[in-house]
Amino acid sequence: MTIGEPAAAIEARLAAAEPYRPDTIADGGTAFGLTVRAASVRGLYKRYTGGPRQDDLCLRLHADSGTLIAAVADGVSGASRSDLGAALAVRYATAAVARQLDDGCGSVDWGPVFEQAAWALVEEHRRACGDAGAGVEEASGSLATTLLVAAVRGSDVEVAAVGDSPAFLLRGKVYDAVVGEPERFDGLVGGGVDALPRSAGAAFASRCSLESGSILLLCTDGLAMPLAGGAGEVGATLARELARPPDVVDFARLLDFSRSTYDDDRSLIAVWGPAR
Amino acid sequence: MKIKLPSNMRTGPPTGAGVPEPPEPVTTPVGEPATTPPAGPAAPVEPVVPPPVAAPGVEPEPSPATGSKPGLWAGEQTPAGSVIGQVLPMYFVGDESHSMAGEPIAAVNQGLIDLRDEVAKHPLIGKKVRFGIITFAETAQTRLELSELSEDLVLPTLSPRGRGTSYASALEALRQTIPADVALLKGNGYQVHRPSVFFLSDGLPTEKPEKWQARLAELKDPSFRERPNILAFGVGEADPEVIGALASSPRYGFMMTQGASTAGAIAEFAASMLNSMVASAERLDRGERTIEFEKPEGFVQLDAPLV
Repeated sequence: MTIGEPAAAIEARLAAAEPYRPDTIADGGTAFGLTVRAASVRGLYKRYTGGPRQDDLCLRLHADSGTLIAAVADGVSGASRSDLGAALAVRYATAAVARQLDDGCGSVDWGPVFEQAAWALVEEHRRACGDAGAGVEEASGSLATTLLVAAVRGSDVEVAAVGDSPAFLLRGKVYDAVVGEPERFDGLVGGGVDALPRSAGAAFASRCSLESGSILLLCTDGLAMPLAGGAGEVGATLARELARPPDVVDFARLLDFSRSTYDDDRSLIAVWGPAR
Repeated sequence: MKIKLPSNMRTGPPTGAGVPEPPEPVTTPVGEPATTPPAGPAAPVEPVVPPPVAAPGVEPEPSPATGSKPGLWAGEQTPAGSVIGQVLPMYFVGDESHSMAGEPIAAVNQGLIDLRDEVAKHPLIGKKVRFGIITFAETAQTRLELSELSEDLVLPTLSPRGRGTSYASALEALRQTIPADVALLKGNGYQVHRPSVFFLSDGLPTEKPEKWQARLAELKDPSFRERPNILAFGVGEADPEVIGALASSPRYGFMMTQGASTAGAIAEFAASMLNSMVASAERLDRGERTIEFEKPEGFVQLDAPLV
């Protein structure tokens, strides 16, 4: 799918990453009355250079509480193994939320969730470099990643983030920021991003209600940038195509739209609320 | 984009049917976030067409790209809120004083041609970068308005001119040009990344230090929303202290190694400018640093420890 001026057509190179990083992942299904679609696609630039996808996502179900736990992460490109950082962060964070639910917590205590995800990055860095004394700063140099996590139980949504991966509620054609804010059109882009493990304490959280007819969107800035708050043609296209949950593969293809100058990795988890 | 976490938590989603309560942060940020929202009122979303740059001491010059409008100025203007792309403005600010005559200025011209050709060949970065050229001697001239580097872009040929070396006029030209360019890009529907300036000089300013220092302070003023990253390069007789002062960060100041060939150093500088353009465009979406740059061969980074 092309939205606006297309990006250049290129032949994608396989990514020589260790561990293996597929170009695209797509997932989806229903659970606890919720319908979920999830995809993470490698950006055009990394397809051109042969770099690995540095975004990742994770879905986890907590059966006892009927909770869907979802996370997306965007590895910081300046960090040499941030693809692994993103993969670890989403898995450890969703597991940390599940452990809290096991303990019967009524609401998520986000501080420990981000701390545990950050700690997983430090541990991996220590293992990889063989330095048991390596700390957060060293791990930030190799595994830095943003992290956005949500716990959805019925229509109750708890969501928290470190960094610039935003969450939105989409109602009709309107995108409301839940965590993060729409692209501002009045300032310059860039200037820094909070990331794990360094900024584990900089998490911000929010709650919202996933009413019938609304869709929770968790995404990385590879989508948030062209979405730009949802007022333009990317927002209109997504809103139209997500009015009903698409087929899983179609969802990934939708996320992989071509648009000139937007060639970063993109990840999106969409959750449709319970029917009335 | 780079979300401003505290403000977004305060703002919350707009009100409406079924809209959640304004979110409450459950954790407190440790220290200040890495970024703060830009101060001041919103930039005009209405398209703004600035007049040609005419800063004091700046001689306007017709665009050398006669017959082909630079990319920035082309295209339909888009309605407010509709974003069509993202761009990184980059400016080369080069010394055209008489001391650059001969091989040095030839190396600059060849470097610019190579830069254009390499970027034009690249399938992805050409659309993401806009490049402008300002030169200075006793006055500054905008020699290339901010443009897309396509293979048919006609580049100016730099040649030594005038008497004197006025850094103040070059800095003033940037101060005037950058906000106008950013406003125009935004008016055309672009998300604009923080501009970068590559400043190259082979000598000392021939004006009172207070004059260029005042212009530099204006350009670096934190309240100047479009203040650029400035990478400064000294070759020939340039003063390391002056070059270091120009750079927007200590790690962005570079001096040619003593005894090296000026023309050779300029060629290395130009190659590094190209590499920076490619690396910065690649990481444009991430924003952890807007500008990517590695020290060119034949230069010393001024904040490096002395040996």
